[in-house]
Amino acid sequence: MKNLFYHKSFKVLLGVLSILLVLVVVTAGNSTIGTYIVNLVTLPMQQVSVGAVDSAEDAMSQKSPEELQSDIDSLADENRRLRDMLVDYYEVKEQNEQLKKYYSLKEENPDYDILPATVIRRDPNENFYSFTIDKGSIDGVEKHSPVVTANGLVGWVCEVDATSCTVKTILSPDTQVGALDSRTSDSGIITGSPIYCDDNLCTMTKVPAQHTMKKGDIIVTSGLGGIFPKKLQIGTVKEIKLNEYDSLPLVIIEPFEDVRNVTSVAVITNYLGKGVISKSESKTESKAESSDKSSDSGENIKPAKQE
Amino acid sequence: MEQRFKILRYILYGIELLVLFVLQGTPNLVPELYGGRPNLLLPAVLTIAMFEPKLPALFFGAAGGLLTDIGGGEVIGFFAIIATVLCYFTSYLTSDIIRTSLLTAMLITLIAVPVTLGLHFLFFYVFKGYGEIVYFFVNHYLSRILYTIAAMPIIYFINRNLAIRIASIE
Repeated sequence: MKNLFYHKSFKVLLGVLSILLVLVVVTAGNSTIGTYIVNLVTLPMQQVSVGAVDSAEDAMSQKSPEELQSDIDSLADENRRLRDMLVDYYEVKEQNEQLKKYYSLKEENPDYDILPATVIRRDPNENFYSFTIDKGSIDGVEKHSPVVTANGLVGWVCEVDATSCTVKTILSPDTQVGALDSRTSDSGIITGSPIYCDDNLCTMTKVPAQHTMKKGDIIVTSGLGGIFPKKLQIGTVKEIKLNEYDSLPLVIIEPFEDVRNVTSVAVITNYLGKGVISKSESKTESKAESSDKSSDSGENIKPAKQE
Repeated sequence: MEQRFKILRYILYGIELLVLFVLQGTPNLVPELYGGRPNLLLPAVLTIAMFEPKLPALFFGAAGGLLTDIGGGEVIGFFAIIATVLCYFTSYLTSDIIRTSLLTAMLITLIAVPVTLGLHFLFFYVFKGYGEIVYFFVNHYLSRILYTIAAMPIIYFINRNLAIRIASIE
């Protein structure tokens, strides 16, 4: 054992550890060129892998002979139709399918710039169902951009590379979104909870004690912090309890989307009012919505883009 | 000639790490058990270290750890440091003190995996003040640790075959 510490390889070990230590300090909280390179190499592999799993899941779904027959018939019809189409039909169709999901969202909010994306990675070391999507800064994604599905908000971009970005979900305690009860206008902060995240539930905290919320109410974003657009649907009230720590109401929210298993999402890259902090908001809410960005709020809060 | 086979073996290890990196991150591929999915890279670098000298072992440990860090989106270097140290000492143990076998591989994994994921829990959960420490460890990390240990024998046999077959060609 004593000899081990005088061995040349032990000196190399110390050298490598020093380099890695410097790397930890330098890259804490920032994406790096190393991340970019690894993503560049592994992204196509990841996309192939995701495609293969989707195909395998389709193939393994158990269906009755009648259903299979109807599937075959519809596929034969589709095949006939496709033969008459252009060579790039598949690509265009895929894009249209993705965009169609967000058509109603876009129709209701013409100011939204919606960028459809596919979930390409869910790391086993992630604690609150964060995931990586196949869109990055090249596509116009910025840190803190809201991530949605056709059913509503699922999270926000916490790290951006050139070709991919990492999304923190609304099930994470790191997420803090200013929200309102659409019926009563009671406000609060949507955040994740270690206890509820496995059941696809999040919580609404900082709700006033004299609230009039009830089960089934729809919760939407308040848009007051300038990070998330206004009136983006989040979920419904499932239960109202008292927080055991501060005795304030703790509202359990059931998101409209199963955040744990989303496979395709969209990033709202721009919207009217982005980066504008409403002056009419309560101080608490404004603080809470941007609290997790306190370290780099200057990067995120910028003048609204006039469209 | 020997050098060429050594390079070939290292290239194959590199490809193995990349493939495992892609597989462990692919959504819905590896089924979740009690809230956890296995970390495949950790047993992979540990088994590589069992069949390689100290220097390559520590570099593969660093590479596997860096990939894990990049996949997790947390601080780059956390897993890399732990995996580098673990692989170095694993290689030292298996080359100088104990024989490499499935039993010793399991013993090393039984220590290394809980240590690594336990430190991850400490730094990225406990120190962040999320609360519900026991609940979260039992419901997420325990299954992750056991699942990772369970994946070890498969990866061990892959790397053992790789090392032995290439050595026999040499």
